[in-house]
Amino acid sequence: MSEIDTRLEILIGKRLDGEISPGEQEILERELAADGQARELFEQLRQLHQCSRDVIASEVAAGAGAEEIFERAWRENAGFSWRRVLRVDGRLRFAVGLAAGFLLGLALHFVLASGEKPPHETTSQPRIARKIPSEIDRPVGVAPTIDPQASRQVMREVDWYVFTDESGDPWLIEGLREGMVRPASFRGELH
Amino acid sequence: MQDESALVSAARRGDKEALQSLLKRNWGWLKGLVYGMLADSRDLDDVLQDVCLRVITQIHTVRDPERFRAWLAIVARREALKHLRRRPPASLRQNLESFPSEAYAEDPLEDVERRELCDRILDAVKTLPEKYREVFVLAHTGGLCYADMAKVLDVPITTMQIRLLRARRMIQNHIMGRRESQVQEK
Repeated sequence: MSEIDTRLEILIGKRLDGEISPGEQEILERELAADGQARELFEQLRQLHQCSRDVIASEVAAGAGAEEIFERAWRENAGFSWRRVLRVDGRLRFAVGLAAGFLLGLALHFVLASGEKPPHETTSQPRIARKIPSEIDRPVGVAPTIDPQASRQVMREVDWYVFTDESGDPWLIEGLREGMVRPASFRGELH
Repeated sequence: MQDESALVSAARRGDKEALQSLLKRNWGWLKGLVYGMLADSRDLDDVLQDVCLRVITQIHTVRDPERFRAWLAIVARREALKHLRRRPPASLRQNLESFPSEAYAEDPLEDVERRELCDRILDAVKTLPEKYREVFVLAHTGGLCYADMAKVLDVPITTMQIRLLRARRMIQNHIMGRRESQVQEK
């Protein structure tokens, strides 16, 4: 397409869109009067313009109106108005985050600290220890609770007792030297 | 335009009426722009509602009331793009089927040839690349002069004119191509 055609197309486009100046209108009129092809192009573009307007208008006209859509959006926004209350600027948000992090860390510290049992608490005997009847049979020996190969520094000796309950089941009781007693384990194979 | 700046200022202060007036004033091209992005009218209302919601919540961020239209166009484009990413792609056939042909068939004198031409134009518009489609739709939605269209599209006026010219050529070629192929078939 030549430069003249492009210029003519621009002029026709401006004319159809209502953007043409009086000077340009004059030029266009001259071109149209002198050139049959220009008239044909003008007619094609005019028809295209008219149909395009109709088609796009019918496409865009579908659906709800501006007021209805705006009202819907307004109501939707009102539902989330609490968000605006919480809206804070960047620095304040940073400070709030920092404070929250500090408090969380502090809380975590206390929770973990309370989870650690002080040494004297470990001496409290488990429930089963209080129920050990007097008829504990006999000590069966002394055995290390920790494998000496695994840890050379820590070694603790325990006494083992065998106890038979009312139903005749044998129990193996681990009695620590320090007076601690761990929950008993049922040893069915002991006879 | 001065009125619009005053409305923007009032809307920034939380004036609902001003906000509504602003949107109503710009509704025609706004709808056209969103339609140009979506390439069909299936979810036009949903996207426009999202645009309204964004305008309601973000109007306070508009620093220069003179640039409200450019800002609104950016908001509309973003919302349309978000929507396009979310929705499953529709085939062109589906798009064409969704077109309400009755809308322009109300006139009993309207001839078949014109209806066919309109169908072909719509078909061509939907296959245009986005930047050409949006300028073409804006130009045919009405309500905006070239200068305002350039502002809305955030491009120089000459760029906008060239895009419009190319869009017209593409549509014309599409229609002529169809016509030629129909003649050959016959």
